[in-house]
Amino acid sequence: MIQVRFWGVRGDIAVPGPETIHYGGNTLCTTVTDVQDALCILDAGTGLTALGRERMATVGRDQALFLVSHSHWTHTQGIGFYAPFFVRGNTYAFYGLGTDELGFRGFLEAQLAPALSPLHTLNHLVAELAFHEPTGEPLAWGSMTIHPYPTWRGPGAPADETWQCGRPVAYRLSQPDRSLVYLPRMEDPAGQCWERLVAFCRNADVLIHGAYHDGASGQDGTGHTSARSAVRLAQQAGVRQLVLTCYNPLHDDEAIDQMVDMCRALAGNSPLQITGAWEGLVLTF
Amino acid sequence: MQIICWGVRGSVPVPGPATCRYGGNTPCVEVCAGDTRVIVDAGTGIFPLGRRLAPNPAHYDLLLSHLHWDHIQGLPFFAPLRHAGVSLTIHVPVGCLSLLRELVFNANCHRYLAAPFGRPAADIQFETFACPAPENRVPGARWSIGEIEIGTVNLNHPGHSVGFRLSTAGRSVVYYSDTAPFDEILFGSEYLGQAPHKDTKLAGAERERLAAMRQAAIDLAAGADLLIFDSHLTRQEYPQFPHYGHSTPDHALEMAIAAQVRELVLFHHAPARSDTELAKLEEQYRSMAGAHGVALRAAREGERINL
Repeated sequence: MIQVRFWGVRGDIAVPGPETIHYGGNTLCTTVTDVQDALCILDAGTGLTALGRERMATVGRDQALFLVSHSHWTHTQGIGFYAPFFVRGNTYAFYGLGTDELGFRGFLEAQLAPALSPLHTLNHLVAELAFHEPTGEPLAWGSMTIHPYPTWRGPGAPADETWQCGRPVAYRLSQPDRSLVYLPRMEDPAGQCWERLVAFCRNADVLIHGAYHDGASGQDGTGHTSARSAVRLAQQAGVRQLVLTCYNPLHDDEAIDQMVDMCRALAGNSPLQITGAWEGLVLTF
Repeated sequence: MQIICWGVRGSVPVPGPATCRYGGNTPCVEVCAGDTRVIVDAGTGIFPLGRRLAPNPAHYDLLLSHLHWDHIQGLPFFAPLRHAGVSLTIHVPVGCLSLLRELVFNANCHRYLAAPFGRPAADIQFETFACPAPENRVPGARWSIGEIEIGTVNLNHPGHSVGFRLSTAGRSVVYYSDTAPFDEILFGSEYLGQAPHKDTKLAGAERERLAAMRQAAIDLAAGADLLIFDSHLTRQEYPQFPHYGHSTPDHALEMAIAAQVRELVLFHHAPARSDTELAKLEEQYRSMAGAHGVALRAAREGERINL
């Protein structure tokens, strides 16, 4: 059993207000838990604040694996507001790509610098934190195996090619008989990484995919993913359920409804199930 | 003079049904007088403001009180920056300039955030201002932006924050978004992980510095029409969290009375404060303030205040 819950579904910037009440206005944060309650936290946007409150209320000792898909502050800006970080004895592992200059820990550390945050440094989070950069090797977490994936890797790239800093990473979380792919952002402006990406998503039960724009011409090349290409990828990879997230902050609830409808129309009579993620949505499979 | 709060929340934006009435965006206040438009702070509230302004060619001035995330996180998403014909002057305290440039506008640097527009099309200029410590008896910087006169003062906040007075033609608004009260802790650049022990006594010199800071803040706010003031904590929460560098509505009201302002605006609402709680606080403190002849409201996003 894998359970997924959405805490933040926005790209770029949080957008509070009545126009975003249904889908939610927090930046990216999704949790994945298995039957043993091993917790993976996919991205640490502002949605992490509410998750922290819930963990404080329901869990004695908190432990989690953070998988960060992109070293942009919108994917990590909730870190100072996760209350369990301030409890001694809680333990966390972080996986993500940092920046050339600073590495992953340094990237997170720089965000808490004294001028920017009253926390000053990660060392002031009293929980135990460990930081790792993906190498291509799978990780084990609870009953799940996690494969990080470099979304920008084209054909002919050697398997041991260095993971490049600052670029979007996808993750596949698997149990022997089920799996989920998390792909909020990707970089493939020339379309040359497509075949590899299809292979990476092959037969996943759930594909969580960015839907920052609807895929009409002129919107590609921003590093954001489109709803149209999400449907194409899900269909070609034989995915069972496509779940859209990482919405454009300009899109209100009505615009997202329309985008989800458009995706369903594109999928036609195929068995692909399409859901627009909202804050609080729980999927169990 | 016209004032609109676009972001009223402290620390982190909080979207959701519990914040729809007062708003969940981090600080951003728009002040207009005649043809002059000054924006104070660039929390997520600057995003909805930018949507309303773009793409008209225009000049804007932005004052930044300090660089804590909740005051700058909206800046790369300020839509007018995408348009040539727009110019923006960002006024920052001396010492914050190089970090701000690197954070938001270095398109080749992935250290924090690749600039989402690549190079902004707008013309961006930076101006720094000095805000000397009040104990030196040197007043904070003053200058004019179009029809608006700006005055500054240092406030009592971790890593410092700046308070602003914006005045035009006999009308004025004062913005003290982030400050602790001026009696218990003197904040500087060191980290405070917990409340000081209750028996800790401030050294005489620190008490004097705080008193000077408080007096300078009162002097700058004196007689203002509107005082926008940090009310992050409640009276009940404060004893636990004095080291957060924020005030309560009681502290805010005390300053409003001391500075003889006409109206107090409670601001920098805590992320966990729901609309229902805020409405209750607003009502409670409105009658307390009324007894002193001070009008009061809790800042609400999108509300227009005409002076």
